Amino acid sequence: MNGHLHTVIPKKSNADHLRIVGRVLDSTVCTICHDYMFVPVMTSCGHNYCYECLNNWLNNNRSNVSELTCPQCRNVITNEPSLNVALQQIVDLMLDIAAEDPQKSNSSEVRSLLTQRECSVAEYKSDLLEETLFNSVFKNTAKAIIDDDDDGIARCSNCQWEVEGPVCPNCNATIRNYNAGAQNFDEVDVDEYSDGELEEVERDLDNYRAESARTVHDLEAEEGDESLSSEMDQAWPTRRPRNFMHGEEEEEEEEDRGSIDSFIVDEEEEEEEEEEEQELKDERKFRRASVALSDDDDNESRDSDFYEHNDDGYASGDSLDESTSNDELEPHTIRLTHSQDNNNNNNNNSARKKRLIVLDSDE
Amino acid sequence: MSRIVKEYMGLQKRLQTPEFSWISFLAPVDDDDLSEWVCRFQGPSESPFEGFELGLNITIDLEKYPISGGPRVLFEPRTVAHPNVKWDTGEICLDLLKDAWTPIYTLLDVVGAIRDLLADPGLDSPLDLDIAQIYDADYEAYVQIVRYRLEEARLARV
Amino acid sequence: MRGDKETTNWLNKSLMKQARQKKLSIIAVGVLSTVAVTVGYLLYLYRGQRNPNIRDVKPKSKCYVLTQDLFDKIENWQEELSKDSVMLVLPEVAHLGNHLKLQLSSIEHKIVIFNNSSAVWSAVRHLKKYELVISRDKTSDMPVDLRRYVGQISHI
Repeated sequence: MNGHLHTVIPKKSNADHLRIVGRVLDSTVCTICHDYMFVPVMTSCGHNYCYECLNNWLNNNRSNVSELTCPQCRNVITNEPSLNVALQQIVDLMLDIAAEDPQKSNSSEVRSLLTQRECSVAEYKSDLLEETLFNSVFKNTAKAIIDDDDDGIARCSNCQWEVEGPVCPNCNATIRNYNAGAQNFDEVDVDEYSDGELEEVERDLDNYRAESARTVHDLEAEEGDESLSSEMDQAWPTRRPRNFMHGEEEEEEEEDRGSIDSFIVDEEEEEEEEEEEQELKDERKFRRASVALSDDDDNESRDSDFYEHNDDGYASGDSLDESTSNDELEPHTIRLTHSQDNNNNNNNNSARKKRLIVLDSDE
Repeated sequence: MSRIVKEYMGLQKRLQTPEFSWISFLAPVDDDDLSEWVCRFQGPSESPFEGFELGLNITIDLEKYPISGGPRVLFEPRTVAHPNVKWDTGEICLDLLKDAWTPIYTLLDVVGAIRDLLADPGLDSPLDLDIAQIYDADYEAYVQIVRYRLEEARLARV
Repeated sequence: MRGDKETTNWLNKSLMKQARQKKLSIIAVGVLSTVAVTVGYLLYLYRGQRNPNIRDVKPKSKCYVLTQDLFDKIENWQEELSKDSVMLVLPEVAHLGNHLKLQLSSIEHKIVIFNNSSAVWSAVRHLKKYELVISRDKTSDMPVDLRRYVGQISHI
């Protein structure tokens, strides 16, 4: 490598070299255990920890799986942290150089470090082989992925069922970014409105919140009966945060709440009333991630009937292990793919294809 | 070697630096038992605590620290009048000591955060409502009350 | 051998005696426990008084709320404030407070001058001194709940 820094840095003074070495050494120290990171893993937010330390933190400390956060920056760790190979190589280099030194003075310390390295690496490797990295906390949970094409609705990364609470109502997977960044259902996009409108919208929002709270309170006080669902239909609007509030006045909103149109978000979707009840009671928080879904249906259009009769043993609640594997390929695009594509008759050559799950309303 | 031991070893050096000159001492009560620590430090400038030395009692659950839990820190009882401190017990209401704890924090970080809290009370979660009210309504009186308490404590130590 | 009748009599008597003794002991236990509970309750009342909170340990701690009236009535403030006591100076007599601060420089930290009257009552609540010394004319200004925070109020 002939870069300029390669030429200049080696010629710098001892003091400068020491600074560099010191800084590099500091970067090999885990902020949790204050030890060298023989198996450094890096989070999506760019922070490094010992595999063991981060594993401990993620599995032993939080009150619930919904909050996998980075100890340094509190960002939600949505994807499984990966081995930071570059950093590991630096740590190895440091230890190897120290081990070359024949002096007896540091041999016991060096030996102990070598043993530590051996153990840490072995542990990591075994977890890797058994596919139980991080105690499977990433494998066994799902994320709420925002479907921008569908007006910001969050879907379970496992089964694509619409998700609003901490657990997927369909496949029962815990949603691990439930509280993340909180794409608040009530959040208002400031740029969309002029000043006057913004105030009005926020006032409406407050009224809406108060109304909803009151309605829920009233509903809960009542005995359950059929009228409940129709009242809820009226009082509880659908999940269309942006369109819902956009430039409408209060009276109009109330009318909208009753209209059936607002419930139909997507032709291919149907909703369960029971689902609604459950979801309504949960807090609505979604992460506003910029996500685009691939929408290539090619020339094939499928409607609900097709899927009803052509499931090939695939049930909508099945977990899809490989579904997340494509996630990392493009940082800002999360594509919904299913390994079960292969099981279907309509196996086609394009590797990615959007597939919709039909939500049956009758069970 | 556990994390707390590492911290203890690194402390000596760090306490010498000017950055921590405001700490008179921070050490375990007994070298053999790292679960109980004591700290004495100078109150922050620009606050009624300036010029006074304050005492903290720190308890560490060695099994849990630092991943599953942070240190338990109390002011010496009946010395600190502050909106976020319980007068009788010295209990401190600081998020870092409760739900905002992460293993990144060290004892030095904790003590530093407490010192900052002294200068900047958090009025949304007061442990002493009366003092919080005085702080809010009559800051100068608040200063005098805090100092009254500190002076009395100082005299009691003599 | 005694007659069966005598034996029966004797048995009956001893049974009745036992029964009586049982009754007596039950009554005795009942009486004792009532007495014990009463005594305990009285002790509790006496010790705890009306206050739910722990107050300053030394029972004679004092909190003075300074008004012109009070200032005039006390001759030797050095004496008054020498023990465990504190003086809260109402805004209207701040000048008196300052005067005292200068005069009693060694214990000037015990004098707290207020700009806001409601804060004065909060201070009384926080300080939880045993005795609150206040002039009669200010009694009406006191919030009602203050009684819970002090042991004794001396209206001067």
